[in-house]
Amino acid sequence: MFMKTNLLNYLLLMILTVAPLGVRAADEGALANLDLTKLEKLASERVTVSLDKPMIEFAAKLLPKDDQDTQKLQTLIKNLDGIYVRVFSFADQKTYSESDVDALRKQLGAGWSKMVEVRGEDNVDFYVKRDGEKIKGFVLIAAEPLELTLVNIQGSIRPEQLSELEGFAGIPRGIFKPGKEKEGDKVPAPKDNDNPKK
Amino acid sequence: MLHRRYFALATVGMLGLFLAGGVALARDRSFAAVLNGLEQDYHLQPQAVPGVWLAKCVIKALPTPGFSQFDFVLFEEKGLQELAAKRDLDRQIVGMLGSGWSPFVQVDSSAEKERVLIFARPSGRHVDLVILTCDPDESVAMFLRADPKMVEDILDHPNSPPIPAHPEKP
Repeated sequence: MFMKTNLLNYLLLMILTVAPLGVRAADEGALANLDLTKLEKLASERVTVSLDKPMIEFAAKLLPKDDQDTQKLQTLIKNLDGIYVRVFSFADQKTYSESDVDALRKQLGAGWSKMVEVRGEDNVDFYVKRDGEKIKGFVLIAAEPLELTLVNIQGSIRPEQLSELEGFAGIPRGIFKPGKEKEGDKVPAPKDNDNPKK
Repeated sequence: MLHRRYFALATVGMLGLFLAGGVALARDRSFAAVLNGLEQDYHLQPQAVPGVWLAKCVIKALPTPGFSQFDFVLFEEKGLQELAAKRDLDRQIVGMLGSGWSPFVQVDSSAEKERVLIFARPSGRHVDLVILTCDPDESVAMFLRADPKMVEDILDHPNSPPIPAHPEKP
């Protein structure tokens, strides 16, 4: 009897201790835990779109069924765990500075490596997170004079497949094709240690 | 004999209407939990809007483009500023809604002093949405059982969600 009560107490304690951690762990994944407090204060409008796994599966049902591209997209999004888009709009061009974006880039610490960097009128940085050979997610930071867009895709997806997600789940079109930016934009080659293994 | 048949048909019809009305007026449990939470935490008082029950019955009975169930509550001005300023309101409301729900879209406009929060829960071929809009003058909480098309529209234009118009404050 004593053992049974102890076991129940132990189980209860485990549930009370572990359950909140589980919730927190799930929440913390979105947008790679970036601290966006300063940008939130500076922006005149903030739009957040969050799609967790159940919502991604639901959104996949919205795609037309008789389309070949759709079938490809559906296979692709089966491997995704979350899509998070954050758009900050600013009243004028001097509201946020390059140092605010730099602070964001620095927050993407261990595990994240920069894959693409575009510098021009709009600055785009593209980061990838790996676990060995496996890709775990992407973060894109697109800084325009009046708008800052952050996209975080979680799950297993290859970089060349990302453009297929454009237009899906609020992901802005053209955002994964930084090479097609205006003339004068500089697209440096990714560093050797950051290159995806083919 | 004929009268008896008409009487039976009328009774069945009335019973059907009564049941349909009951289903239409029944408040979603998660939505009710949010309303209770807002009332307790922010002292918001729901305002009675005349004719809401009729609108809910009509929407339940007649096919409405975009959604098949609709419920809404208007809140009075007291406590709204506190609600609009609450930074982690989305997390708080997800806690009130319970399992299966997740934050979907959030729009905060400092210029317009407006805030829209949309929470979603897939429900078969539909998706349940709880929408909370706050501005300095009024706050509206809505529950919709939306068609996939509406979700698509929200994803296409997240900063101007296609929220159905609600009756003006009495």
